[in-house]
Amino acid sequence: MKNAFRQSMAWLHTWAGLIVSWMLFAIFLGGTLACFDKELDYWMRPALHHLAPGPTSMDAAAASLRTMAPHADTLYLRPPDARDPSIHGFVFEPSKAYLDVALNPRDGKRIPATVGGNFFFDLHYSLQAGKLGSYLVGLAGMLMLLALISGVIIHRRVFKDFFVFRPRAGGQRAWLDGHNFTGVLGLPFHLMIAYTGVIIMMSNYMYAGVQIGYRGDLVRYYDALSGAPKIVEQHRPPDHVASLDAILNDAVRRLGGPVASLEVEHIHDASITVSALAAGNGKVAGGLRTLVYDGAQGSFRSELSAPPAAYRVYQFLSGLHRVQFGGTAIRWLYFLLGATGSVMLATATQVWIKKRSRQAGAAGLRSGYGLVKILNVAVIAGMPVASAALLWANRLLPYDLPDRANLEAESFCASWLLAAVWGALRLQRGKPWRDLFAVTAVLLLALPLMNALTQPRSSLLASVADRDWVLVGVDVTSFVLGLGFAWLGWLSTCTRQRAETRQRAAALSLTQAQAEAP
Amino acid sequence: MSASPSNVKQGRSTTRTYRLAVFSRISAALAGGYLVAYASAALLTVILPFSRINRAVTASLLSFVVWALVAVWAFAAGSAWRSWWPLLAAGSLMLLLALAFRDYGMRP
Repeated sequence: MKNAFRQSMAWLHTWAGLIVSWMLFAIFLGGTLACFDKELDYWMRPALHHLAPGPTSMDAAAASLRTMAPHADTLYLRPPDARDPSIHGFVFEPSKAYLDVALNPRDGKRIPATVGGNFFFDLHYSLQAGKLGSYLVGLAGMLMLLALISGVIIHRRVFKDFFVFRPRAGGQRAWLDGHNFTGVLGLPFHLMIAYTGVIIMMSNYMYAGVQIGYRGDLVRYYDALSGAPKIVEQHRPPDHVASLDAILNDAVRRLGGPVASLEVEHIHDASITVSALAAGNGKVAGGLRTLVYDGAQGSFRSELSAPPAAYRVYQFLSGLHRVQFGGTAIRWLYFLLGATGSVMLATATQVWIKKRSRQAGAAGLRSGYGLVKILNVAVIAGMPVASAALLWANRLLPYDLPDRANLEAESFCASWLLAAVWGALRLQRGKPWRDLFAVTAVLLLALPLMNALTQPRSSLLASVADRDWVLVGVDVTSFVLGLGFAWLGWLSTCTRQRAETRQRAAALSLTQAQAEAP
Repeated sequence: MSASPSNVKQGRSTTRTYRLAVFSRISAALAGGYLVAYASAALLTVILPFSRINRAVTASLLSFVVWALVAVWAFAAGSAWRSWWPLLAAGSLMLLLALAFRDYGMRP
């Protein structure tokens, strides 16, 4: 009975895992890179690298946003912080795409567009496919949770196997050891990240609470969450608009710490209201306090009551996932654990195919097995190529192109497609893994050089002299990762050779045995 | 359809029966699991002893744990049929109960 249960869990692990492994790999790698989304944002916006010293103007930024989106009713502004010197503006305009721009903190002018590190964040939570994408990611997260639970059940010797690694055993054994090692090493992290990842977007796909508690009225549900009093429109334009800089200063003084964001609501009405959300200050759940101001007179109106306890729990759980709380050290920890998770997923798909290598060999590439092989190389070796190519595109595309952000995204997609096609074609005869790892290695190793040629003032040497450690960090990390991919490329050349030698030896001994047979 | 892991051996893993069995279990785990999770969130929103917003949020947070447990159970069940019908029954029952007491569920 006990055995049958474990067997059924092995079943669950194999199939729940396989069908989402490639999507999860993309989500994991995207999330891993998004740990440093703001740092990549900064690297990808050279206009921010040498800002003239001077005061920050939230008013200039707001004015600039209002010309960009004249019909918007609400503006969100994020003042500069330690990780991002720009003012970030977010605007929803009716029947238009969501506007998310970086603005010069001095004069509010728009910084030349880039998809920024935010690209990986969008990829991580929606696969760049909007609401449908977020459903798919939610489902993938759920399947990951299932694969983790069943993985723990089928793994009898979690502790012992952790210390077992037999790379020389070759084939399935080595891949399985690698999968177990990375899976067990990151297990608490993976469980946490899968559950918190699923619940982060729960209001997108788990409506039952709203349906039963609020008869499906999402607006009332969100009002209850925020605790904000309803703003009554006065249907006349404001005769005066208060300075956002003055409000920001007052909020910082009252909160005794930095402000994470300003929200300006009803900007075309006399009821204009500004809310200042306190920064998290190292709290996992993020900022707790919100101050509300009269947007016309600039006078302090009230402080919102603390969020409901259950929502605070939600904020804590999603905060664990969003990792905005612990500074650079924690972000690096998440980055490394995320990378470990990516390796766990990559090895998982290899275990699946190695375990079935006999059938897969017989069925050829035009079969389900072939599809798995193609997806393995296309996703696992292809996505790193595309991610590195994105950084190249950012530096190589002219900065005055109006459609620059889209072109960057297209170069990411195009290079991934190219890598995937190349990988699939080379699977028949050739070393697709080696090829793609090598391309990634070259792109990453040469990134600092390319950066120095295209942006001399932001080159590695210049950044060291300027003590701009974020820019130094991106270049150095790219180089180190490039070394890692070069090593992977070298490994995939060797293992292939070893496997071929083994096969040849086996074939030889077989013919010898046949020849010796009477 | 009634294939269960113990009577499907590796050697037959490519047969149509096996594929159907895998498909049935995965859809029971996902679709059936979602139904039970949704229904449990609805029912918990009615019966938890908290204020309304806390009931709704807590119920949603817990529903994903319910989903995971139900999915494990769907794979462990003896047959495909036995993995499906209890999910449908439990989901419908909880949903009906939640709907029957939905006015009580809207108390502040």
